[in-house]
Amino acid sequence: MFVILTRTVQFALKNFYRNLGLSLTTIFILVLTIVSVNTVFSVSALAQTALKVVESRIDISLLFKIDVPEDKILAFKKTLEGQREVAGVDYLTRDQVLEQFKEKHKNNPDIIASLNELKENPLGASLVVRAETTKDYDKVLSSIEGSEFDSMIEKKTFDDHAAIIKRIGFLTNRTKQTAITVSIILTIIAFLIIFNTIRVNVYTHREEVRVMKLVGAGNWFVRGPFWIETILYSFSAVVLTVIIWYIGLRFIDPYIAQFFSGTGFSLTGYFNANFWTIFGGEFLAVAILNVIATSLALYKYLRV
Amino acid sequence: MIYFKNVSKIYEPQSIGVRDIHLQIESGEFVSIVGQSGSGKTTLVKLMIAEERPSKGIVKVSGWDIASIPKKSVSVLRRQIGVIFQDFKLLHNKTLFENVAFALEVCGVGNERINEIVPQVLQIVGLEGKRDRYPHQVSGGEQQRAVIARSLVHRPKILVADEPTGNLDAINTHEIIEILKKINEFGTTVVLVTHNKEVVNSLRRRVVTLEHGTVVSDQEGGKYVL
Repeated sequence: MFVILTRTVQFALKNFYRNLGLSLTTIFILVLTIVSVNTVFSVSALAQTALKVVESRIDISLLFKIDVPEDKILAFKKTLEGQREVAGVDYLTRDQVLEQFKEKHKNNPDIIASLNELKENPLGASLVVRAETTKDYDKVLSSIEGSEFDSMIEKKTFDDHAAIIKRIGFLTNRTKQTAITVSIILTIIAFLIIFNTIRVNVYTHREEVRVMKLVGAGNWFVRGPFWIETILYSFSAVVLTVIIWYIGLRFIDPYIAQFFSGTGFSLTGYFNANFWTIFGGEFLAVAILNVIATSLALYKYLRV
Repeated sequence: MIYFKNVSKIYEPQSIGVRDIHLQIESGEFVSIVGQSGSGKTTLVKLMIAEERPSKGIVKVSGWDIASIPKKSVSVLRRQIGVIFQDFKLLHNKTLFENVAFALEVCGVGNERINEIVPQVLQIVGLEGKRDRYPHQVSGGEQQRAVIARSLVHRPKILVADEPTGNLDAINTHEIIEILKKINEFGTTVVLVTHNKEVVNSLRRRVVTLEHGTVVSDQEGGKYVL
């Protein structure tokens, strides 16, 4: 058993070395395929992060009528915080709302002058509500509209964001669908490329396979070296991809970090955090594809 | 040792390989199977080494029923049958020693045993001095001798030679036939498939003649009559 195992590995290494040109070509094609898959992962991660950034800036502002007492607003705040869909609620007093309003319109002298004409603060207190996801805003709004507190609200600013939230929701779904579709297409292309590359490899060894069968080698012994060889291809391709990918990230990441400044997001961080899932998964996927392709390509020669 | 009873092999759709073959070859015999191209000689060889299964009838080789032999057992059967082809089938990136050793390596034989057996069989075929040469560095006759050496490493009970001298000149042909005779003297059953009249006539052994897939003559000490 040990002799057979050692010899299988020896044959695989010899095949790899003696057909170095073909081995390198196969590895090169695998690297290209894995890099393409990683590009899809990166685009997906960037899109998700961009959407999260935008999502985090969305909220519902509830501006209360000026005569609503603070304790009622705080009671409403407590009710909202009890909802599963609500991520957080901030209370702004009338003075804070006025300050924000002045700050927002500081470049508009007409509005500032009008405010100064008034002796009293014309603005009511406000609650700023953030939902867990953009999909939850509809539920939160419905719960507000159906509550006893609705009559105390002067204005809801969510209407201004409704369109953008809808668009973001659409973009989020579309990004996920596109990533899945592209991944499936890439997997099919990868399988076809790998299958053909392996078929060429097996074809170049067809005489050897025939001789092996002729002199009494079992099918498992014939398959063994090819399987080990393709696993070696997969391993080399993933290792090469890791090297190339991280070199590439060193150039790209400063631009990404600049774009997402303040969020702490970087592609290197993303790939570090998911290193084994991504590269380990890719190695497993490519190795399994390779073994299947090898078995299919060998089938007709093993019938002898 | 080799037993054909009422054997037919039909290739789809309607091409006949062999038809109603009755043939029995005993242990230690030297049998020549002759016939023109397309007479079914190679089909007979393929049936013997389980490369093909009969469409009808019984084929038994060393006790194995070829019609029902499990796939796993084909490799075991082939270790009991040495096979030699006209087109040599040596691996060009291996030396003669490596080519012969290859037959043992793929069956899991240890290196020590390989280093013991391979020089012995190379000596039997007269290639002991050329063990480190590659196939392209030796003559056609020497390449065929290496193939014979490879077929002998499992000490087969049967040696099937399908046109082993087809690509060789008269001198090399004579040498190969002498080696086959020597192997037969050691007790191995030899089945020689050929259309070389001189070879068959000089052997003066049993001759089975095929025509259109059927046995038309089977003579002890026979001659090439076609």
